[in-house]
Amino acid sequence: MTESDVALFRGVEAAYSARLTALELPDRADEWRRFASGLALTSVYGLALGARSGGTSLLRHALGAPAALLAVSALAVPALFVVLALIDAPVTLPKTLSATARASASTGLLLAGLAPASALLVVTIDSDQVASVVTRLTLILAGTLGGLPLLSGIYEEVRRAPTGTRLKSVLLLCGFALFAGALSARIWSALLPILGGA
Amino acid sequence: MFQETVQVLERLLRSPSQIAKHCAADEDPRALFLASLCATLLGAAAFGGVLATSRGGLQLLYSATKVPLALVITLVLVVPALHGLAASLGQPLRLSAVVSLVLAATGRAALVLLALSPVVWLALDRGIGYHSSVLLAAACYALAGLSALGLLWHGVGKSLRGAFVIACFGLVLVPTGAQTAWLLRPFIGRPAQARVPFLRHRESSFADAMYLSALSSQGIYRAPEPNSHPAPRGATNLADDAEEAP
Amino acid sequence: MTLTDLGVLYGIGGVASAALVRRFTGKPRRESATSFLLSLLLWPLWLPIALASRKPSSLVGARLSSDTEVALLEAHAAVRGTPLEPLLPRQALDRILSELARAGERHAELSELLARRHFDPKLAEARVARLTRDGAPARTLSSARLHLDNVERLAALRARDQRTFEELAELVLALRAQLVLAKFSESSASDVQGIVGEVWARIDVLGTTLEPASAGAYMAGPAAFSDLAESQAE
Repeated sequence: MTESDVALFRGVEAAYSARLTALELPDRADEWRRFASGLALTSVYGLALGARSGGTSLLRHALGAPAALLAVSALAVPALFVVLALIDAPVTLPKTLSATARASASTGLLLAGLAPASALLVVTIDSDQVASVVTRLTLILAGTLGGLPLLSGIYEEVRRAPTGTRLKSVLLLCGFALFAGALSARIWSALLPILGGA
Repeated sequence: MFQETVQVLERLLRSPSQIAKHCAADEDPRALFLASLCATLLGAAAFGGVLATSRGGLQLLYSATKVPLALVITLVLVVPALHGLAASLGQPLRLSAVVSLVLAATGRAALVLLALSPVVWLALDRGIGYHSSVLLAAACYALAGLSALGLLWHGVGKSLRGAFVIACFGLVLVPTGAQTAWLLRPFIGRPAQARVPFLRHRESSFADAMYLSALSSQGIYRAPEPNSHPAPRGATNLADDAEEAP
Repeated sequence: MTLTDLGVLYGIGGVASAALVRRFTGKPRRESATSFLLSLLLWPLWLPIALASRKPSSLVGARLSSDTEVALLEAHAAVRGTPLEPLLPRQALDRILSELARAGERHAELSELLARRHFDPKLAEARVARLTRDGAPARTLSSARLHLDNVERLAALRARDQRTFEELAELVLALRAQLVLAKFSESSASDVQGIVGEVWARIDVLGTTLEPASAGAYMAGPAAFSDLAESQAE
């Protein structure tokens, strides 16, 4: 670990959330750590959802909640990168990775923050339908806000491009946002029992 | 200690921006925390007690206990959400700063409730009906909430982004607070009721009630789903209590 | 799970939190009882407060330092792999961060020391005044004056470090913005060089001690200190 890494992760008094959502971290390893933190924090939210049924449902929700983030990062982001490269948008792999890690951490932080309130709501709401609606709304809120860093990070890069390329990139980013939303919804619906998944 | 608490409470009322700065700077948050907690408990207890004056008796004690309890439980549940929202929207704050800020805002709101208590008492004493008293209480909560909002905005950052953080926080706070209050009902108590329960039997949830009301407004009428959870000890079932009917 | 289960989990969290707070905070008995109760019943709210107030006066320096670190890392990340990297190379970044860490530790230590009753400048001053008024022996008075002088120097050193930390935080924010601007607009790096120079000057200040004359001036107020600093620079 270098001096700056030591400084970066030094002490509990440093603002953990500020570091997780910092624009860019110096090393690739830091970015991976940030990405993993996002997944772990999302699992905390999964545990809160699992509290409705308890038992193995805790584990299933804890594993299912971060699955959508993994899917978007592993399937949608590389696809976006390839298509942006095809239209010659000035995106770089390190920046894209950094923006993905930041979005993952951002979503995780938000979902972990929502976990206590969600636990109370899903445990005390009797109707399965209403519990499912509340969960969907929470996931939409977290997914939308958490995805912003990814879109803004990539937009920062394509801003420098000529007008035509920039416009095409913005359209692609809009399409990506819709695709990522649909993919997340599909994964969560399939994996989270509270949303009727397996 | 007492003098320090009074000084903090005065600052809480007079200069929310200073309090917000104090929270952000993390300058020994304990005094502010304790003073805000005292204000929250005192203001909410007084307001809860006043709300129950139309029913009187044991309901006074119950409401004076449950209103502060509902506020504190809501705070415990929503503080991490504000921390997460602020961080993901690019306004990261320390958790201790978020706690101080939210508690100070709640304390300020509770002091406003304390100030409104005599007005509410007078209205109840003049014999306004049950539904009017519910509306009056809601108006008081709204007024108190507005006073808290100012402090919160100063603390999160007086900008469009700060306003967005607070708006998103509202989306979390309102349902959580409503559900917590729903679980701790009744607060006002019907005068015709013979027995005063500490907690009502769990009737579905606030969200369920809203959902059923939304369906009813479209002409679709459904009975609430049967309750799968056991009633807490000492709770009474509204449906079983014939005197609960208005 | 039911509400009761959640309540049990909350209770377990409360017990763990009370143990944690008891371990990390050493307080007088009465305050400790309040803290224990709060950490048991309201642990999600009290735990961050109790841990944050462990070293209350040292926090400001630590916070500024950590924010500055994050801004520095971002500034370096903005220029890494570009022609602007020599303006803030990795070696320079590491040195600044290590100096910041060292100065932060000194600041925390000083803050903790000055929070103690025996190191309160006002109390030390009041003691000298009382001894003078009571006609205390010259040797006693001299010791009290020496203690006051030392405490004032320590307080001045802490105040100067605090101010330098704040200036540094602002400079690093400006540096980050300037580097990002220079990178995207491909503008001249001369402004950046100026800011980098200012950052190094502040880092050097953090590494120095305080002369007795400077301490006196600082206790008289930041304006007097600035005058003195300017005259020394001349």
